Amino acid sequence: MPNAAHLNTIRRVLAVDAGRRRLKLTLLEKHSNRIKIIQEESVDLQEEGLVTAEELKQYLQTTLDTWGRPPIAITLPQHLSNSHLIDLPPGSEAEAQQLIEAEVVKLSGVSDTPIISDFVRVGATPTGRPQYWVTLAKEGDVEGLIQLLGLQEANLCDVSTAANSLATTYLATVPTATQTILIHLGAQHTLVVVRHQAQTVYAGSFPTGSDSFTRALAQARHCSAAEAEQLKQHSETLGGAAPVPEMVAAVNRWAIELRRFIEAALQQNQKLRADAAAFIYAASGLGFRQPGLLTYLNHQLGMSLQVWPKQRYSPGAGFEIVHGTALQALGATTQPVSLLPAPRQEHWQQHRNTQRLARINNVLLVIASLLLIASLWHCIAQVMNQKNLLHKVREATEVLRTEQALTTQFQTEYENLRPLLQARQNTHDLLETLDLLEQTRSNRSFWFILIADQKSYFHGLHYATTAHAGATNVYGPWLLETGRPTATATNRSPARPGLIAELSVPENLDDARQVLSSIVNDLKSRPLFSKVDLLTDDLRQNLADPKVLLPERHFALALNFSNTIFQALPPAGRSRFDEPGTGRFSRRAGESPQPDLIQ
Amino acid sequence: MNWLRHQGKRVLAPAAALGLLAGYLFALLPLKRQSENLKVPLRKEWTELARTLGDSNQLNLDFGAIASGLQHTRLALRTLDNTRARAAARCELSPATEARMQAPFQLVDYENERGRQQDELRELAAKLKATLAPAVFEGFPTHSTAVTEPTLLWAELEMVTGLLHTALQCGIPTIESLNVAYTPSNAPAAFTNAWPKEIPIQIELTAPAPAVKRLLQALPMRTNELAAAPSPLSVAAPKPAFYVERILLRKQTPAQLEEVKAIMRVTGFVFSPPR
Repeated sequence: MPNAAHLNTIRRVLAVDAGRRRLKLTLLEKHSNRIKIIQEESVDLQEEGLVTAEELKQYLQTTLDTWGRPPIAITLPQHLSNSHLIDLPPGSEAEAQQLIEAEVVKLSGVSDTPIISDFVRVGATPTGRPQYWVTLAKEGDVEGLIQLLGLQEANLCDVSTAANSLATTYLATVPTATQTILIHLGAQHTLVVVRHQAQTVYAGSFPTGSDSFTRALAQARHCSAAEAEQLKQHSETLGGAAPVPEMVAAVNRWAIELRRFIEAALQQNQKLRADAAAFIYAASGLGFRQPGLLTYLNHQLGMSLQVWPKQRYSPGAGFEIVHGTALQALGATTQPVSLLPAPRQEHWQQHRNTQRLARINNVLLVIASLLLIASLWHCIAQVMNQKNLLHKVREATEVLRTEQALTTQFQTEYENLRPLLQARQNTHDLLETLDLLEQTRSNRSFWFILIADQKSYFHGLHYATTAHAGATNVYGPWLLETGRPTATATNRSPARPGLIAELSVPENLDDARQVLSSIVNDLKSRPLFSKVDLLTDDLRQNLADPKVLLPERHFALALNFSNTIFQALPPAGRSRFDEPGTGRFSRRAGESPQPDLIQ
Repeated sequence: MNWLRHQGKRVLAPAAALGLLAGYLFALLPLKRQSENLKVPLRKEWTELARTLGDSNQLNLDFGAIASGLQHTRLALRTLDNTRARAAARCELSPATEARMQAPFQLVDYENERGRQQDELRELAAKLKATLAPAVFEGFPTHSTAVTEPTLLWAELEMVTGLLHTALQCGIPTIESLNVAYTPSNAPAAFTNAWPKEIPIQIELTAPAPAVKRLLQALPMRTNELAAAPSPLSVAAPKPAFYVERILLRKQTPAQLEEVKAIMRVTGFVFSPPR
């Protein structure tokens, strides 16, 4: 399985390209399919005083801390690696891997250190043989670079070669380009990458870079390398009024070397040779920032170098390689190649697994936190509700107790007052009845012989006719049939609240009955009475004086009063009293409700 | 700072886990316990309240009805208080009698006043050509060892004199007997010490029916109301309202059909307890 298969899983990466003169850092972040440059930093090692390895390590650690210690990808200088396009017989991926490993052994020759390799299938030959882009490097070189940068303990996620990185950046910048030769002019090396039919088919470098121009200028001007570098960067030394012959010669030598290198690369493949004229030459690297260099190469030497294309998310000038390394680490390439040593791959994988676990833990923590918060919220709300409800219930219980106490008070006071109310009602009813009885006598020939309340009538009259001296204000039985009958006695007794009226009608019997009927009809229509009728003979009492009555035409009428609320106890233990006027306080049906008990 | 940030990231998850654990142990669990502890008294008091209300549906209690029940009870009490106040005003005794009831009872004072009242009645009867039988004066309230509340004798005396004055002014020619007995009402025993006290007075008289009717109509009226009635009556003695409890009217002789014999029991009420 290719090494780069483990990639494509991170969102943020810091790529490091440590050159001889400059340290280039770029921090990239992937949001869905979009790559965003967070930060780019190019450090001139001489200017920043990072001369020793320790200083460089210290600087890198500080930068890592500042940038939040993201995963790191390293650019391996091209001269420490080797990339080849090889054809293999058709077969499975496993067979291809075996063949490639054998081929790697052949390519690596005799080496004192293990070889790290990675491969990716890039297409097929016209004859159908699959082609693989194989990259290899000595593990010792990779580890040496890691140690040089002091990143042994860092989260290394990828090691990419300069050529693969450069090709990746170019592909990200110009996705439609098919035939391109990328030329990266570094300080000490020149990198050449040939892309054919949108695949990288050749990568190589030769040990001549822009420093050779600087040295030629320093020699010509008899100045230091630093002064020559400044002069080279800020003045026209190849054309203009006073070209520096030594500089021109150095550039010419470099151009010849470049041409020879490209020619050799194209010679390796027949198809490349056939399409040689169709290639576009793209120049990158800080070496090409020398004033007049590109113009000189194109016009004086007949080369067709184009400046590196610029897009919205393109890296800054000089960051093409380190940007590509970061893209490789983020998996944003069609030709991923990684030279991360196997132990570090395992370490990285473990780190990734730990990170996944940590992420899952975090998610679980968040879920647990949310659940805890929700539970707390629910519990607090529940406790508050319970407290409120308990308070409400206690309040209601207190209200109920108060109401019961008030009800008892009401019943007590009502019972104290009820005899008065009942007596008043009796008096009122008696007077009204006497008036009505008097009215019934108009135009009728009869007279009343006896009028008595029913209790006196049925229970007999035992009133003393003489007073009993000294028996006043004494508790105990009244001398003259005192207390009112109990409820039980009342139920057994025919006596009801009302009157008995005995009358004599001095007519013949039929007329007398008619008179009686008319009297009964007159009276029973009154709401004052619940019943008006003749008293049955067995209930008749002989209270009237026989001398004043007419035998056979002597009648007794029972006039029962309608019930009033004062005749019975109110329902005990309840305080749901009717509203005044709904029947409780209204004396009888047909009468208007009384707003008060006493008028 | 960066080191702190880096270390902070490493300890964040364990710290959060500890925080969660602490939150569970020291916040959620105590809250749950508190909630469980609250359930017991809540259920008990809820059930008790529902039982008191006689509510079979214990899931829903009508708290509004409880509050309105209290309001209704208070309204009923206010109505009853108003009624009592009005009734008390109608049954109010004269200030002189009220003052005597509030003072320590002196038998000599009472006997003097009783004699004076009886003398006045004799004079009034003579003036109106009415007959007051000796039994009437014998029926006046008197003091004895059996009298438990002697101060009430003052109230009884005012009621008796007021009743007799009224009867005489109503044209009653003959009053045959009178009897006074303080007795508790027929209310339950728990209420026997309560006020107002009933003072029943039994009176027996013979008179023309219109005079009896006039007396019956005059009984519920106070002295000042009698003076302002359509047929005004001038009663010299103070008179509270009386209510008729029992009555028996019957013709006496065929010769005098208008004449009736009346036996009545009327009741007066005393609202102010003696000191």
